[in-house]
Amino acid sequence: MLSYMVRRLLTAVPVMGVVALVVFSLLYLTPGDPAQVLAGDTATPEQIAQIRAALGLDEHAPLRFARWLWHVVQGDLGVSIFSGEPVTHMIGQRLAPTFSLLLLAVIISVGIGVPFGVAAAARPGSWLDWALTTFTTLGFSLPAFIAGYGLAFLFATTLKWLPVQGFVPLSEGPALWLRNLILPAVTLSLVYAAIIGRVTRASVVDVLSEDYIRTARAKGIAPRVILFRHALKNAAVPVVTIIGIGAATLIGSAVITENVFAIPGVGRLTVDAILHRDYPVIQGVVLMLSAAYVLVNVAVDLSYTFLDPRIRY
Amino acid sequence: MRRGKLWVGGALLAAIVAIAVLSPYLVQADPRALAPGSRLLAPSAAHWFGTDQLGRDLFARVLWGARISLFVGVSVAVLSALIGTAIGMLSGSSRGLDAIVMRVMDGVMSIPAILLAIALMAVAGASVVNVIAAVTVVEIPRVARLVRGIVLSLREQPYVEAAIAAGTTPPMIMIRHVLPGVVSPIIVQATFIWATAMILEAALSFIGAGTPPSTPSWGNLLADARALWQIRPTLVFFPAGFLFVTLLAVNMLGDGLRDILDPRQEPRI
Repeated sequence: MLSYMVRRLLTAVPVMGVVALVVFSLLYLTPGDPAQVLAGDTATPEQIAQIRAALGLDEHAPLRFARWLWHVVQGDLGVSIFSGEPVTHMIGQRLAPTFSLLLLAVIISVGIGVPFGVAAAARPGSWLDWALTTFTTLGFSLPAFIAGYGLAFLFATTLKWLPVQGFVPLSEGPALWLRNLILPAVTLSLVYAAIIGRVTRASVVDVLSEDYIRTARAKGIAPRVILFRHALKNAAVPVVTIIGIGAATLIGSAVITENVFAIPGVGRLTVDAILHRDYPVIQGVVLMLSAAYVLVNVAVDLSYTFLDPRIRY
Repeated sequence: MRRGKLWVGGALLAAIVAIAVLSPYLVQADPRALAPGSRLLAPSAAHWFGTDQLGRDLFARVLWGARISLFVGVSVAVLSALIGTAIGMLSGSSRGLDAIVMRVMDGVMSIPAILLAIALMAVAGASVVNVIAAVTVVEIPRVARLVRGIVLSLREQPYVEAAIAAGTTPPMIMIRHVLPGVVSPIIVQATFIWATAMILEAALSFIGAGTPPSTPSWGNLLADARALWQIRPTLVFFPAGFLFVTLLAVNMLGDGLRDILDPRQEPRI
């Protein structure tokens, strides 16, 4: 088991290598001088020279990539062109709000999606089943940051139940933390919960048509027990898989949606970096969040062996 | 009923396209004309959707935004379908190439779509053409993967083996015997990419990494409204509503096309 875990973790290394190469190369694929591109149209020659030196642009590309990667592996993502601050430090400061938001969104999505999916699978064709399908279709057409405005208008501006914007660290009390975070987290959960619900439904319906379920029914086991004890556990693998795949959209949506609710997280950092054309910061954010996504999916792969002991590696 | 989604989606989309194309005739106001005297007005007979913080007519801006959004969506769908199909077919027909190409595609797909688009836009700078290019780059691996999978399975089909046995050259096999099997799934996929591209364009513009701020795209209208939507909610409501309805139309069209062209394909989860 341990050797499998190590092996699976190692397969993430080449993927991350390609991610690093892509993120690194972007700057050099554009026509023109990268230093000039980053400095913008109004830059003085001194500023361009400074950026050129900071990026090590006078060296050959493979050497530059190797050096950059060596620093990245050691946790050094370079320094911001705008503020001169280490990128790792800047991201570190913004990580807590984003991580809180993602965690809460996952909890809400799974907490709503899985029960709804199971309920819809138990009664195919019911109004609940129909509602789940309709909700998913609508959800695909409603980007999270727009849904965020709708929810904020309803629950914050009109009903005044929740604050419109802002973030309070967990250290100032979990109730206050939750009050500020619940609206953005629900916003992010809408599509994610619908996707999880749909996959749960499909997977449970599949399992319910298996022979051993018929046997259990014939033995007279209560439908509720069959559903939760026999079916749900065996239906878990596709559900966990979609949670992992959906994490990409969730992370991306969080970066955008943070700006609707004025949450001082990685998303805000990204917007500031775009404004200042601060490429090292954008590079760092993309690399870091992609690594998080890859790791989530390694964890998903590893969870298969716990969910289904027949899966052996 | 089976074709209901196709017709409803198609009709809705046709209406939106008509509005976008005819917008210069539907509204007299210039979407960029400033009017400091009539800022943040509520919807009225003179300004159907009201005005924004610089007095610009929101109706004109929203209609203009439809043109940009649809243009970006269609361009990305066509470009990524063509390039992705070419890459997928090359990759699926050569084992040596396949290993390298698919590693690269896996790497690109490990970067959350919007983040890759942000990184590309940060380097390329704000413009409509760059948005199209950036989102196309993001979507290509998804098409290439799909095409490659179909090519690999079609290659094992008896009729393809028969063509090989009959001495058909490999390029001819790909074009004549494999490509037709790829077309239907790609049309369905391209429709969904159309919708995704419109979402990405709006999201990019919303955070300042998309179309130039002066362009009245829906994402920019939403970005402009960020500070003022509590005072004048219509500033968000109209662009957001139009984007939602357009996305719904494209997605319904895609669902309908899938049911007809590619019934074996699983419903999109």
